[in-house]
Amino acid sequence: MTQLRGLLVDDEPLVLRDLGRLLAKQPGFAVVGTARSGTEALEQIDALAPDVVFLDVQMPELDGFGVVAALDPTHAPMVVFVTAFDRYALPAFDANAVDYLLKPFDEVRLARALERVKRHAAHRDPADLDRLQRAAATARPPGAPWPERMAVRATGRAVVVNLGEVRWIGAEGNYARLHLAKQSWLTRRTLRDLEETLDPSRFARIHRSHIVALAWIREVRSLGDGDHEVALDTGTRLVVTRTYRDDLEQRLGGVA
Amino acid sequence: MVHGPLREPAALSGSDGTGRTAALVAAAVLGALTLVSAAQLYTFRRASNEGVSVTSALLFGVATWGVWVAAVPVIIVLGRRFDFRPGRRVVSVVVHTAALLVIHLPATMLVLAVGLRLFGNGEAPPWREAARQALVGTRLHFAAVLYAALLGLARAVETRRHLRNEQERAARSEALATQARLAALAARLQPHFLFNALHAAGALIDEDPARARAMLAQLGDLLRDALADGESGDVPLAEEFRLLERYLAIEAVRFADRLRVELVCDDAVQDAPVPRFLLQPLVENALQHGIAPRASGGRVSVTAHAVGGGLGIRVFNDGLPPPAQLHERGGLGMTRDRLRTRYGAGAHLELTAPDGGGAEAVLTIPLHPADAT
Repeated sequence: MTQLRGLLVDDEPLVLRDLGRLLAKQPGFAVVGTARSGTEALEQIDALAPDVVFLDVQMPELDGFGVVAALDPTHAPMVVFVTAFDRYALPAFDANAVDYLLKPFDEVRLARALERVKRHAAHRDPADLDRLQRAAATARPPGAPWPERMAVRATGRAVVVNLGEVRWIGAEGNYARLHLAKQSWLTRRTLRDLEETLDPSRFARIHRSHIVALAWIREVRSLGDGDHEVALDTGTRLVVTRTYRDDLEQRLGGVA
Repeated sequence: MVHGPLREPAALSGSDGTGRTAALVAAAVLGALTLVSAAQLYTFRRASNEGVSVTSALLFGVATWGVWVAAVPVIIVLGRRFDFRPGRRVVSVVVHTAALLVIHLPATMLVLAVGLRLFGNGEAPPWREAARQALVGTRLHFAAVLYAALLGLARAVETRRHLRNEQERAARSEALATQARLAALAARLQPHFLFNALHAAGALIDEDPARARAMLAQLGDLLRDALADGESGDVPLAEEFRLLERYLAIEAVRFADRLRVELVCDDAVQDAPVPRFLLQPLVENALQHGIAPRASGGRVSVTAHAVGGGLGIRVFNDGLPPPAQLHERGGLGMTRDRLRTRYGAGAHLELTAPDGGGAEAVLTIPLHPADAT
C-alpha cells in the first residue's frame, strides 16, 4: 500500500507536536509538513500536495473554513477538521468533510479517522469537495470575529487578500472579483456568499452585482433619476440602485 | 340544557385532571354495586320461585344506582367548593345535606317505579308512602353513608393526585436550577475554552507529564470557582487575580509564544470585595477578540488601583481593536448585567480602542459596596 502523505495544521505548537507523535505511530501514514496558520497551510498545500490535511478550524487571520474555500479543486487534499467546537456548531462538516475530530480526542479516535481517510482515498468524488467548499465559503466559527483576510486562488497558488485593502467586489457570473487599489482577484464565491461572510459594518451591497467597502467611499452623488453613485479613493465610480440606497445611507451614518 | 352537559366535564377536568380520575373511580365502585344488586335480586327471586329475566334484574340494578352514578360529578364539584375548611363548615354541612336529599329522593322514587313496573301488577306507585320511608329510618342512613363515602373517595383521589403533581413540580424546578447553574458555568467558561484546555493537557502528557498534571490541577481549581454560586458572594480582589493567574496559565500553554501576560494588583486594593468571576470574562474577551485573531499574538495586562474612592480595573490588550458588534453581547454584556444587579448605578464599564491600538476595558466599582447608589 502506498503511504498517505499528511499535513497538520494547528495554531497551538504543543497540539501540533502531539498530533505529529500520534500520527507517526500509525501505519501507512507519513507527516510531510506542519503549519501554524491558515495562510501557511495554503502555502504548504500548494508546495507539498499532501493527500490529507488535518485542519484546525479556529486559527488567527485565516481560519480552517477560509483554507477549504480556497483549495484548488483539481489538486485538493482530503480534509479532516480538528476542532474544540461542538459538532452541532459545524453542521455543514457533518455531511461533507471526510471526518472531524472533536478535541479532546485519543489515539483510538484518531486511528478511526485515518481509516475513513484511507477508504475515501480509494474512491474520491469531486462533488464532495464542491459541497464542502460551498459550505466553507459562508461558515464562520461560532463567536469568531468577522474575517480580516480571505484566500483566493490565482494561477497555481493561493493568495491571501487583506480585506481592509478591498475597494469593491463585482459579480462575474457565478464568481466574484475582489478589486484592490491596483490588483484584482477572482474568487470562486458568489456575491451572495460574500455578502453573508463579510462584516456588514464595513461592506455594503449597493447593486445587484456590486459590494462596496464603506471605508474607501469618498463621495456619494445623485444621478437624478433616484439612482446614486459612489466615488472611491481610486476614482472608481459605482452605481447605487434605488433599493440599496437607504441601506447605504444608514450604514454611512447619514453622511449620504 | 344544552350548556349543562358541556360545561360539566370542563369543571371536572380541572388543570391536573384529578376530577376525571375521581369520577372514574367512583363510577367504577357504583358500577360494581349495580352488578351486586342485580345478582342479589336474581338469586332472591329464583330462590322464591318468582320468575325474573337477567335483563330485568340488570335494569333494576341500574335503577337502584343510576341516579348515584349520575350524581358523582356533582358530588366531586361540590366537594371541591365546600370542603369543610374552617369558616365554611356550617355552609358545607348545609350544602352537602341538601345535595344528599336531592340525590336520595329521586333515587328512591326511581327504584320504586322501576320495581313496580318490572315486577308489580300494574298498580300506581304509592309516592307519598315511599317519600316518607325514604326520609326516615335506615334508607336515609344508608344514603348518607354512601354520600359521605363517595365524597371521601373523591377527595382522597384528588389529594393523592395533587401530591404527585406537587412532587413533579418540585423535581422540575430542581432540574431548572441545575440547568441555570450549567448555563452560568458555560457563560463564565466557554465550552470551547474547556475542550481546548483539556486537549492541550492531553497533548502534554507525553512531553511533560508533571506540567500536564499541573495544568489539570489549574483547570480543576478554575472549574471549582466557576461552579461556585458566585452571584451573591464577593471575594477579595487578590483572590480574583489568583483566578486570572490560573486561567491565563492554561491559556499560556495553548498560545505558547503568542501570549504575554501582565497582572498588577495594587496593595491598597488587594482586599477590596468584588463579585467572584467578575474579571475572567473580560480577559477571555481580550484573548478571543484581541490576541487570538493575530498570528503574532500580543500582550494582555490587567491592572487594579484605587481611583478616587473607587476601585479602577483596566483590562488591556495590544491586539486587534474591539469589533463593533461586540458591545452588548457575550462577556461584556454579561459583566454589565452583573454590575447593574450588584451595584446599581454605582459601577461603570467602558470598552475603548486606545490611540496606540488594541482594546481596553475600564471598570470602576465602589470600594465599599455599601456606598453603592
